[in-house]
Amino acid sequence: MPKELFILTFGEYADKTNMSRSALMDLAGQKGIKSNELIVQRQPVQLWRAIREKFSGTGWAHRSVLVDITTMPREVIWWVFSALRSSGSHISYVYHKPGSYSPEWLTRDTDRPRLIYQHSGIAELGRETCLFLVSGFDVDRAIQIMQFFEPRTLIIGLQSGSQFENAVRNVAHNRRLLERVQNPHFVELDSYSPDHGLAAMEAALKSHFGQFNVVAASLGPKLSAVSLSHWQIKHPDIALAYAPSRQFNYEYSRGIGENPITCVLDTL
Amino acid sequence: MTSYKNPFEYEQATTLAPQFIADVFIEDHNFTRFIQSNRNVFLLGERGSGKSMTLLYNSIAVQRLRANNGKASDLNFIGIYIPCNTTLTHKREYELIEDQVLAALISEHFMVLGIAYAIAQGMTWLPEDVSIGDDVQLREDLIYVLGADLQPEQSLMRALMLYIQRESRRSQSALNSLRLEEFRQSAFTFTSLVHPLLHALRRSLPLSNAHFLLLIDDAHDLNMHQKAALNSWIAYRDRSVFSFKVAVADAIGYDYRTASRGVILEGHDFLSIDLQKPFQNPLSDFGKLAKDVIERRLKNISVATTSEEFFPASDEFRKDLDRCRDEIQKEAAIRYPSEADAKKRKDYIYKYSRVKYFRERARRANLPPYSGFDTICHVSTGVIRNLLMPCYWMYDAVYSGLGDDARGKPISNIPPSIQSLVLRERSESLWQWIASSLATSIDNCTLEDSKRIYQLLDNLGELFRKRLLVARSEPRALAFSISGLTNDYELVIMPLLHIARRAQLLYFRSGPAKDEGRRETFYVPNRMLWPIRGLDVVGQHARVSLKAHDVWAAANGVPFPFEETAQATTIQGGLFDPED
Repeated sequence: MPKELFILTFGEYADKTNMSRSALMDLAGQKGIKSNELIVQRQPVQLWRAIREKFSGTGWAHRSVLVDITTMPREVIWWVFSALRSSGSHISYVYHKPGSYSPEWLTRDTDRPRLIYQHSGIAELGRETCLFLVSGFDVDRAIQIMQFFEPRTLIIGLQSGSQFENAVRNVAHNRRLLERVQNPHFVELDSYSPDHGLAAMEAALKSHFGQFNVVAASLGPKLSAVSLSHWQIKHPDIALAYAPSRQFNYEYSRGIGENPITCVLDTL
Repeated sequence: MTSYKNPFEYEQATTLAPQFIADVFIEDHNFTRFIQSNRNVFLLGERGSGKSMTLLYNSIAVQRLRANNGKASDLNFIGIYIPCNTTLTHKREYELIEDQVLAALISEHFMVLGIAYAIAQGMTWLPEDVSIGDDVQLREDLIYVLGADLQPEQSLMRALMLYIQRESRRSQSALNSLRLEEFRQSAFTFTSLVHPLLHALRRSLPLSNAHFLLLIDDAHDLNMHQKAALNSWIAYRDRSVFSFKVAVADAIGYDYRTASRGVILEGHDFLSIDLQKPFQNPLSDFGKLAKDVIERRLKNISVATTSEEFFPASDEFRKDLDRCRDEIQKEAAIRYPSEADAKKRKDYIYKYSRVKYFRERARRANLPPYSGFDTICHVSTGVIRNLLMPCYWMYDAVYSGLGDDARGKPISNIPPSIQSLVLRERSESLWQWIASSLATSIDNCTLEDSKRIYQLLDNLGELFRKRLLVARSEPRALAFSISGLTNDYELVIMPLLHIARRAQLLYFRSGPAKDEGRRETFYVPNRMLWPIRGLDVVGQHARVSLKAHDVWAAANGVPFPFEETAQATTIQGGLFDPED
């Protein structure tokens, strides 16, 4: 049983999350867990500062922290992990698949893609870019990232499996659209496997290290953000990129799937 | 399997091989010879207008290949290509630094490392007979001036590249860890790294007269501190050793302020070349450039034919157009019988020959047979990539239809039916893209924005169609200006137009306003939108003045009001621009 609960609340959507947060805090109170709420904004500098101030420092050393990444934006996952890691915490994470995704749009009005603060890698001068993209349902967002970085080489990580109409909404759709844009290499990976596709990423990029500046972005299953985080620790030269959406469908997903995925970060 | 080589490859220039660039680049009709001068130059144009190609062509890597092809090696101007769309430039940790002076210092540090590395790399392309690799004095100069520990066992430029690379890695690591104080001690600046490097190189005998062209590509990707630093360097008076040629896509939003909050001025500090051309007829600069571009690429696959022969217009179209021209000539002779009215007769024929064709055509159900090099050239809206793209797909369509035995032989022309099919398909897919993907493909574009842009273009298409069919004044106008743009309308309309511009659905151009001496912006929708709407893509040298409240209403789904007698304004070209 945890002693403390920290809830990161995006101020912009606070009214939409009010009921859920209240229920969570009520439950925590009933179980004698101390609740803390950190109100943050999506503006990246403020967000980075808030996370760094809250989760850095000696107070976090040797503490066991379980991070629920289910509804966290990817840059929040990366910053929370890196802050806690630098503080010497023992990090585990949990991810709940949704029961279903909206058949309509999921996100839209994408902001300009950007490299992640402190995860922007170490670029070699004179080298061209290789973009590794774990694709998801938003193919246009993938194309936008690709057009922004104008990579010399594009590798698309396609989620395998049949969950959430994946074969149609992700694999076939991505292959058809992205092949028209540039000649990408496709690699299958399974973000729901124990290593979240890390071995497949390693194999796909092996020959590109030392030849390109690698930029990696996750638009696919949330767990692929975890594997990218781990991957970047192993290869600090890799840059992590993100294209935040400015509009989310409030019907983005429904319910919670069976069997949450829980893992200790450092054993990945 | 026969190897397939499409001559109309239109990928981004940075992915093209230097030899390909040397083979296909056209120097004429586009003012790009200004690059080989000691002036500071801004190259302006949206994606695909040829900025990167122009800079790469002038880089030493490509110029040396040209020298190998029998041209004289010219060391008076040495082009150093410096890309800004790199992962190093996209680092944004500077935003975390509250001390703006330090943020600017760090931003400049990374930029000058990139420039210095590009210079050192560029020197490796020097012809062997002028190699500076063994110049002991130069090595000692660099060690002394830069404080660099250059590896003695490496060639000079390789050692310099390694040194800069090491400094870059070290400082990126410090930045990622926010060890910022290191930069106060060790950051490089233009005056501490690039300036002494260039001067040291000039002390080497083979380079004693060299002028270095610092070719900065995609400068819009620089952060605000780096743009300000670059502008400050451009403001330097002394241009004997180096000058900047800066390619910018976002010409309107580009910030020309210097680090000291001054502003660099066109004419005084730099000259600018707009690579997007307002006129596309055969006699215009763009028309000539387009013809040369196509014919050079055909020559590369050993097809010795003209652009017009390779992309012939359909016989049906040509005959119908000739017939219409004959009839309009007769009308003109009746309307303006006097010898003194020769110009009026000429104008009448220019304005109404094609109009007659399209008005008669409108009675039929099918779309006009869009074909011919002139048509393709106008569809490009004055952007080279827009010219090459349909040509690429046309070539591909013809190639796909060939049997195995025919695939080894060059294609001699693109049949008009294929041209027409491809133009209609590309036109339709552009509309589909706006409807389904604009909001997700262009950053900071909401679904509402994309819907409004679709509706605005849709209503413009309808307005242009009505004008083509019945308007008396300038019926083929395909451009517009906006009147009555109050602050309130500006706030809602301009963001839409800028999104459309970034999506290359709309091009901004500047021309003389009706009021004497004043200039105004006018807008040209991408002409690829019009084939599927049955419009005349050749257009006319005129723009329609639209009221701001009608533009906003059109964006919200209300058709433009239309009067047959509504006046349009003739677009005044430059002194040497022929009529469109």
